[in-house]
Amino acid sequence: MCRRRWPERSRTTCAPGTNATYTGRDVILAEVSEQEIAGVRQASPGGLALHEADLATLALARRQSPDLVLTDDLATRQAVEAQGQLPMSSVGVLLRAYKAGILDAVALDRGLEGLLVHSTLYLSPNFKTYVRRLIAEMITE
Amino acid sequence: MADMTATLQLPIAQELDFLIQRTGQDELTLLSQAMRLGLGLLYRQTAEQAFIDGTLTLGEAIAALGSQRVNEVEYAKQALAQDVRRGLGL
Repeated sequence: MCRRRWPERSRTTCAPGTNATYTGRDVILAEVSEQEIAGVRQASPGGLALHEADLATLALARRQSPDLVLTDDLATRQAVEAQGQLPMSSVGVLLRAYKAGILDAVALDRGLEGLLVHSTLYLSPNFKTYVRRLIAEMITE
Repeated sequence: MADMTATLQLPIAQELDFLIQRTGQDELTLLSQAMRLGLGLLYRQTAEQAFIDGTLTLGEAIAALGSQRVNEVEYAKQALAQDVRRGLGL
């Protein structure tokens, strides 16, 4: 596991080729063992199509108990909830950035467009109008 | 415009020739099958969009998409609503 606080790049101990964007937060890279993955596979609700990377995410979430677990995969999201943790998709991350003043309205809109039009995940273009309506409704609440 | 149409038609003709050779089915059978498949896909896409937009009832959506897909779409809608709320800190 390695930890880096950008922009202190010179002191990082991460493997070469690791990328991160400066957000003022730590970026932590962690390894997940096969044993942990097997444990999560066994504990996850049946019928969910979880891949190795999803299981590793779940194992890491179990180990570190973060406030939020980021995923754009619906099956992983269900498994995160089954673990008693809070999931959040990229839509939520973009809105947090907007709320925090890191993104302006134009950048938020561009980001949502990228997610909802070009993503191959469940965030398909069909949800574009729905998400924009939700945001408009909640901002005016 | 005419050039573009010709360009677009060429791969379809090639695909059709390929299918005729490979399946042994005639052109009319293959085209009617393609029409059914294409219309089915458009129908499901439109029904899903209408359900997400709230202009199709649950019962109509289940009839068009099947209960498994409707459950997935409902869960995705609920997930997005949660994320928007959490993202905005509400």
